[in-house]
Amino acid sequence: MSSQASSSRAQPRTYNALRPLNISHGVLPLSHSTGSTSFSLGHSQSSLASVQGPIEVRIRDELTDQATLQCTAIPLRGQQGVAANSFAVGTLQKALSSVVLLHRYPRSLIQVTVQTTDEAKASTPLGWDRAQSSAGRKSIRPRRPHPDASWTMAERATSVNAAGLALIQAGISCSATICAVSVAVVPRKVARLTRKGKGRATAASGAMDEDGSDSEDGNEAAQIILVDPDTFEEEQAASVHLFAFAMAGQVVSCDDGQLKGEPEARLILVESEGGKVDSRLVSSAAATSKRGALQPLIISRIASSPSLQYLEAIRRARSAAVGKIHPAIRQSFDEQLLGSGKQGDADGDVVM
Amino acid sequence: MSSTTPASTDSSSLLARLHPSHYLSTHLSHSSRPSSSRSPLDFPDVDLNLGPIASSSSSNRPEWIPSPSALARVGSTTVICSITPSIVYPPQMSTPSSSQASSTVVPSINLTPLSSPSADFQSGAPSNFAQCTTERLYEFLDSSLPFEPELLHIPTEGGEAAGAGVEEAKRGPPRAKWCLFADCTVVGYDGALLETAMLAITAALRQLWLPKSVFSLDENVVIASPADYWSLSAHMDSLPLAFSFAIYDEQLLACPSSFEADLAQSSMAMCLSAEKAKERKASRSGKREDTGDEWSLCAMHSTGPLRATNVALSPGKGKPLGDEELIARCLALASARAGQIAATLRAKEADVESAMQKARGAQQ
Repeated sequence: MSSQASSSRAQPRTYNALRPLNISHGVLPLSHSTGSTSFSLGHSQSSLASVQGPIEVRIRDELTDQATLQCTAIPLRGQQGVAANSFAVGTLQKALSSVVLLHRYPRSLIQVTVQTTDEAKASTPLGWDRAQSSAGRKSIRPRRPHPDASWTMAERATSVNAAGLALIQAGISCSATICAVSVAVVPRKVARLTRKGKGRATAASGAMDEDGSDSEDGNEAAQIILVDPDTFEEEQAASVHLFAFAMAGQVVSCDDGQLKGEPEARLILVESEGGKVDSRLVSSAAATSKRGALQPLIISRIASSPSLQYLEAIRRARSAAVGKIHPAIRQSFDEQLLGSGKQGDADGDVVM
Repeated sequence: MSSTTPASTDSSSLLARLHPSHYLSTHLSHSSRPSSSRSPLDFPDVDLNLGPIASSSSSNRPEWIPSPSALARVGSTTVICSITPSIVYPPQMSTPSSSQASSTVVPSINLTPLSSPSADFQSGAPSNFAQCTTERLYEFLDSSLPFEPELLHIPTEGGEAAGAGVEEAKRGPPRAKWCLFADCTVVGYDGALLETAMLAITAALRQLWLPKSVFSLDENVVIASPADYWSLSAHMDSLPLAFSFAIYDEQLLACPSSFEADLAQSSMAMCLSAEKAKERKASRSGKREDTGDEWSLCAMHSTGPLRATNVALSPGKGKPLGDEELIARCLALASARAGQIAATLRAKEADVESAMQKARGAQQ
């Protein structure tokens, strides 16, 4: 059944798969910006970020011990409203301030401008009943291109990624690389339509596997966590999330006498909007979490158990950031700095 | 934003102004907080006054109906919210049924210069801080959806009374609908703006009564009943509340004051909503069960690295919490506090309700 319920794409992706990443550095000429990067997810969601700095700062904005970081975010259509300004000042600036070493550039200005260059229109997949669309998330906010409409999480993710990369491209010292991932929690019927699951699991406990097979719960209203949702999935989602991780260094663990290093990803930005958490998913994820990395014992002692699905969403985002986005970033810099015939060390001499 | 400190000139306030980080660190090393008797994980006191603005909303409102306004105080931050319902006519486009071109609830925050002597609030266009807070409120209200947006659609041509608009929503955008402007004015500011404003908006929304109205296609105008009003709180299933946290030097602070928030490296804001189980709807007219409200996370916004050493899963464990565990722990703290605030709100509403019954009885 899952393969028959096709989406408009030729090959639907699995629940945890990202759309193909495309990173281009130095898109704008050096006369216009110190560093610029275009980041896109799939062929239809992309942002261009441009960094100027460190440059001279106005006296009234000057900080004596660190650089002033000024961010602007411009939507694709319509005017910059409260949503765009709040994203720039409240989200982007705070996230970038956590990683940029501002104290190295006192009394100067670093300007980051992010422009959404392409945004995916919601394409209804085949087999989706239009009349059911009222089951999507209801909203008190207007829709795009009204200036008060909220930005989609995928758009925010590409903007944060583009801005972080543009800063590195501009040569501004950062303590970590930012990788932002968007996640949506959708009803099962939407996930079946747009993504490829591995069929039904036979485990009676109803575990959710990493590769996206869903439980035998049989409940159509049960929810599935999707990584990197497209616009249609976001519209139908019960809740949408943006998680940005700062990746620096490695967490080294010793397994059977062998040292294993995993890039350390610290959560530096969380934006979640949407509805209530489905408590059915909570108990099944807790009972049979195969990875064990989520410390289920500890979590179960915390009073507010509905957060488990949320924590699972963070975990998925983290593995996507570590597994997909960070390597793509490293590769893009390797290609740019070392040429396409990369001669660098396999572990990456390029310090991020 | 400039750092806010007490205005007196004794040596501790001088130290706060000259060396704010050192001042805060010293306080936290003794598990105390500046300008407050709370401990780092304590929330401040909450006070509510419902219906303070007598002239709120419309002047042809019957006298027994309370005014949809609320004054909320959390710690030293005081916000007055007044809801102004107005009728908007959405453009009649052929778009999917769930899309809309205009808002249903529009929050706004007005940071007045009188609210804080040390913070530099100017009158005029909203500053970045005000815009960010307004956006947070918008997101939180959108995520928690205290009532169905279709409730505010005005039925056309004298159909059933308002409240039956849900079925009509599927037929396309309504010809007319209510748009609620929730205007918050900050009277005193000391951090915790999101909490106070959210509480004020929630309390004011629950005080809102709207007249039963229809959109008449013949006269192309909305006709509202002068005496027949319906209450929004009867249809409000959930009670959204916001909570904020800050992390300074790996110490978690609940509901930071503006002095602490300026110095903090990380901040978290979360919106919780009480999920009323469907079975309880039947008993709503009777006694409400206050115990056992399930608080679930609706929206969250957090920036900065998440790592704290002063919260432990169980006393004495001492292991620093990071990322997901910290979020879970903050959620637990906020849920406990939310129950208390909800109880306070309901107690005040009960008072207003009984006063209203008396006024109504006296009128008849």
